[in-house]
Formats: sequence, C-alpha cells, structure tokens
Amino acid sequence: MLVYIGTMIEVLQLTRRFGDKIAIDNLTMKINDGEIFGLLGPNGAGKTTTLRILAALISPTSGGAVIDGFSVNNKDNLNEIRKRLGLLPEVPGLYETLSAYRNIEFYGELYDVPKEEREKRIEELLKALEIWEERSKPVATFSKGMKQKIAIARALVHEPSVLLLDEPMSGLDPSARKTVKDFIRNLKKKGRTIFLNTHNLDDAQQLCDRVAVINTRLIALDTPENLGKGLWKPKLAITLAKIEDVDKARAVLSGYGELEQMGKRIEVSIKNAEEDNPKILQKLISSSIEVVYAEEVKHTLEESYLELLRREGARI
Amino acid sequence: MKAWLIMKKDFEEFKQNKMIISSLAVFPLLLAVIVPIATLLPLSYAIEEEEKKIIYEEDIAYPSTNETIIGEISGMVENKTIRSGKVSSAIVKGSIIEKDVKVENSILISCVVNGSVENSTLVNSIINTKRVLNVNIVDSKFVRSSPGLEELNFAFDISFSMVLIFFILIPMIIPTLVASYSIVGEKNNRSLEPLLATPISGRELLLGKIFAIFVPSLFVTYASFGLFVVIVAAVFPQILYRIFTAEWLIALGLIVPLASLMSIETNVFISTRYSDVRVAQQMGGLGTLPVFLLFVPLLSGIVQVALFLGVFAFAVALVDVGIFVITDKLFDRESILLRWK
Repeated sequence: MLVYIGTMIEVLQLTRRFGDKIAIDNLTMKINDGEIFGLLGPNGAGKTTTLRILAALISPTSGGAVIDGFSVNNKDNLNEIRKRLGLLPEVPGLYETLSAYRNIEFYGELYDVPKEEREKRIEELLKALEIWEERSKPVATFSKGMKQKIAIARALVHEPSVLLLDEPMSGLDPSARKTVKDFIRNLKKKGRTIFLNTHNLDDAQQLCDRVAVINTRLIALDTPENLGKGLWKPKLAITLAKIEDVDKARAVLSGYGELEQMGKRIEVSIKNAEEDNPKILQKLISSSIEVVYAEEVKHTLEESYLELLRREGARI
Repeated sequence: MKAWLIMKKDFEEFKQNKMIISSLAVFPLLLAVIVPIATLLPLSYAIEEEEKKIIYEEDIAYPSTNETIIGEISGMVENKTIRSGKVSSAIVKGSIIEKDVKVENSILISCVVNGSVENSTLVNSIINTKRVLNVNIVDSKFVRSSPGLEELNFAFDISFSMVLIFFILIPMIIPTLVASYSIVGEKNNRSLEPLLATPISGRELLLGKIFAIFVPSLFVTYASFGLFVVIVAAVFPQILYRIFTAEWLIALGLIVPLASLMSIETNVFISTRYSDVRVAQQMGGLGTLPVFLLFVPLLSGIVQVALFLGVFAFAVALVDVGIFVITDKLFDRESILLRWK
C-alpha cells in the first residue's frame, strides 16, 4: 500500500469519456489530508463524474486517482476505497417509508459498524444536525433540508476519512444551511477530508481551504482568496467625506491613471500596495481632502470564478 | 452477509407499504378459496350423483337362465346365457351376456351385460362393461363403474392437477411486479447511487433483492395452500389423501420454491437492465412467459409422475443457478448508474 503523507486524494491526468464526449480532460490535483476542498464549475463541467470516479462508482478512461493510498484503477482496491468514503449524492436518495434513524442505521450495518458504536454515532450525528427529535418519523414527512441532513448523517455513520459531498447545501433554508456549514467545519476540526462539489460560491468561499475551477479540464486551483490573483490589476478604494472632493482628488491623483468613481468612493489603480497606498493617502490628506475609509479592492470568489470561466470561453 | 441486510430493509419497506403486502397476499388467498369451490365442488357433486347409479356385484340379482348359447344370435332370445359369439338384430330378455359377446343393433331387456354393446338399447339392465358405443340406456344400473363416472373422475383428476399447477404458478406470477421494480425502483428513488457507494458486492445486493421477494411469495403460497387444505378437509374430506402424495409433496416442496425463484430472478435481471420502471415491469411480464413454457409438461398431465417431477425440479434448479450467474456477471455498477436518464 502506498502512503501519501499529507495527501488524502491525488488525481492524476484523470480523463473520462462518454462515447465522443469528454467529461473530464486530463485533470490533475491533490487534496490534502484534513482540508475542505471545493470543486467548482458550470453544469456539465465534470464535477459529478469526478466525484463518482473518486467514489469508485465509475472508472476512468485514462489516468486515475489514489485515495488514502488506494488506486481507483485497481479493482481489488475498490471496496477498500468505499470503506474510507462517505458519499452525499446530489439527490439524497433516502428510503422514504423508513424512519430517519432506520435510514442511517441501515448504512451503519452495511459498513459493519458494531451495534453499540452505531447507536452512539447515530445519536451524535442526529443531535448535531438538530434532527434527533424527528428520528422515528418516516423520511417522506420531512422537508428537503431535513432529508439533506439525514443524507449527511448517513454518509458519516461509518466515520469515513473522506467525505464526498455533491451540492450539500442545495435546497436548504438559511437556518439549515448554517447548521450544515457549522457541521462541515466541525468535521474538518476532527480531521476529516472533505471534497465538496458546489455551485454555491458563497458557501465555497466560507468553507473551503482550497478550490479548483474545472470545465472538463482544470482551469485554476488555489485558496478562495487567491483564486483571482493575476486576473485583475490591484486597486485601492477610498471613501471620501465629501462628494465635492472627488474632482479635487482626481486632480491630485492624476499620475495614477483614470479614477473610477461611485458616489464618494473612488478606486485608484496601484502597482505595489505597500509603496503606493501610503503615498496616495498622504497626497489626499496634504491636499485637505478628508478620507473616511481606505481598503484594497478585493474580488469575491464568485467574481474570480466568473472571470476565469469568461476567459475560458465557457458557457456560464 | 450483507444480502440479509438488503432483505431486511426491503421487508421493512414492504411492511410500511400495505399495498405491496395486499397485492401479494389477497389474490392467492382468494383464489385458494375460489378455485376448489369453482372447479372441484361441481365435479364432486356430479360424481356423487353418478355413483348413485352404481350397484355392486354382490347386490346383482342374476336372471335365471335355462340354456347356454354360443355363436351368432338374432331374433327373439329369452332366459339364456350367451357365452361367446355375436348378438345382432335381436331382442334379448332376462339373459346374461358374457364378456366375449358382441351385441349390435339389438334391444336388451332385464339383462346382465358383460360384453360390448353398439347401436343398441338397454332397458332395465345391469351393465358391467365399459365397451358401450352409441347405446341408449333406459332405467339401467352400472356395476362398480359407468362411462359417465369415468369421464367425471378424469375431469376431477385434471382439475386436481390444475390446482397443483395453480399453486406452482402463484409464486411465479404474484411477485413479478415487485421483482421487476427491485433494482429499477432503487434507481428511480435515487437510492441506488449511495447504496452502490458502500462496500456491498453486486452479488450480495442481488441476493438480498431476490430473497426479499422470494420469502413473502413463498409464505403467501404456502398460506394459500394451507387455506386450500382446510377447505378440502371441510368440503371434500374423502379426497384429502390425494394431497399428501409424493407428487404433491415434490411439487410443493421443491418445484414451488424453485419456480418462484426462477420467476423472481428473471424479473430482477430485467430490473437491472432498464432505467424506466414501466418498461421494466412490462418487460418483466414478457420475460416471464418463456419461464412459463417450461411448465407445459406439467400442464399436459405428466404431473402425476413423481419421478418426472423430481427430474423437473432438478432442471428448474439448474435454470435458477444459470439465471443468477448471468445476472451477477452482468451486474455492473457503472453501467447501471450511467443508464440513468
């Protein structure tokens, strides 16, 4: 058995074709042990196919992936991989006539979790997800959000080292969304590796240590903050006290190129934040322009994602 | 064994869905009452009526005869014993017609007829032969048997065999819809993907699915059979012994479970090949037809032979193993998931 210290999942030149259609094209990435990793991309980008290959449900056309030291290319490994994974598919796929408790218990049995341990874990999971009181009710009576929580508990009943989540926040109301997000953060604290497929970029930004943007092939991989690095020129945003000072500021900062203005807020292009920011502020203050607030312009993950896909020519 | 877990889970789902239970149980239980009453009861009544026409040899009052005749006889004959030869265009009164005599175009009055009779009229006679053709029988009695009784007994035997066929067919027909839903239903509910992501083998999943349907089908079949036995014991106690024969025991103990397994396996196989529930159920119905063809020999009446039933049971067992091996070999997680629409 190969041991990848620090790497829980390694995807190497992974390619999957369906007939003439390429679903995943030469995808290479590493997911570290204990991190929350987000896989982003438009519909049809290959996110679910990647997740299914990692879950040992479908096989790669070429290339491969190694999960906790076990290659998905070796058929003898597949059950070992399955034991180490917890899967939350896009649709929860629960047994509607059975109770919440029984749905999770059934999976605990399939993963050979001993009875006492199983009972303890189910209780812990359902309490953490705030559905313990509803455990005996048939799943058919539950809201979409509650079903999603049960499916998450089901994926965790055997304490997998890797959790594969396909759109975990889909259809959840804000309160349930918060519960699930807090729950995922707690899992990370416990050392779980979480692989997250999502369309929701706010969730990815809040949760993920690193994200990859794919559109059949890898477009970018970095932390949510750094994903947009190099996409935009750095800018300093300054909020002035009086709107009348905007023209004065434009004159003072003429050397920094064209200013962008939105009410009392102006944005100035900079080259080096450490050098340029103090100079700009000093110039404004020395020209008797009152500054209320100044900050470097930051781009959200959503902006970076959309820009990356725009440049890629993807249909968003 | 994870197959047991699948089976247990499916049982629980069946239990929650009363319609599944009732669709499995009501039809065979109802038929277990209707079939004997609709088929065996009228026949049994007709046989009883026919038997009233029969007298026994010891009760026969033989006419007193004064002469034994051998050879060809015609015209008027009275109080004779005709031992061999032919009676043609004669009127015979108070005589005994022995076994080797052939009677044609004659009228027999108050005779005891042991030989063959054709195109004749028998009045107030005692008939102790099965060889009667185109005969008009008036106020006569049969000794031990009668042509009508033979036919009725034959019809009763066939009906009785059909009841056995019915008990073989119940566990083949009843579970087809549930079996053809087994895998495609999981696909449809989207519960198959997380299930296949667990370390369960295809074989365990298939076995669990098959036995989850097999056990209740068999239970329902034996329950309806139990009900049938109760009805037979109450209505026709005289034929109860016919049920506890080697043939019936082989059929019920071996062929019933094996035939049920064959039908369920065929439908579960079909369920793994289609992604639409309706198509799977429709194909499941069609797929069971060739299975029924195997049972043509049973319908043709060979059902009575214990040895044949034993060989037949063995053949069905081999087919069961074959279907399962093929289903297991063709069960592939990837193709099942990717056939999803």
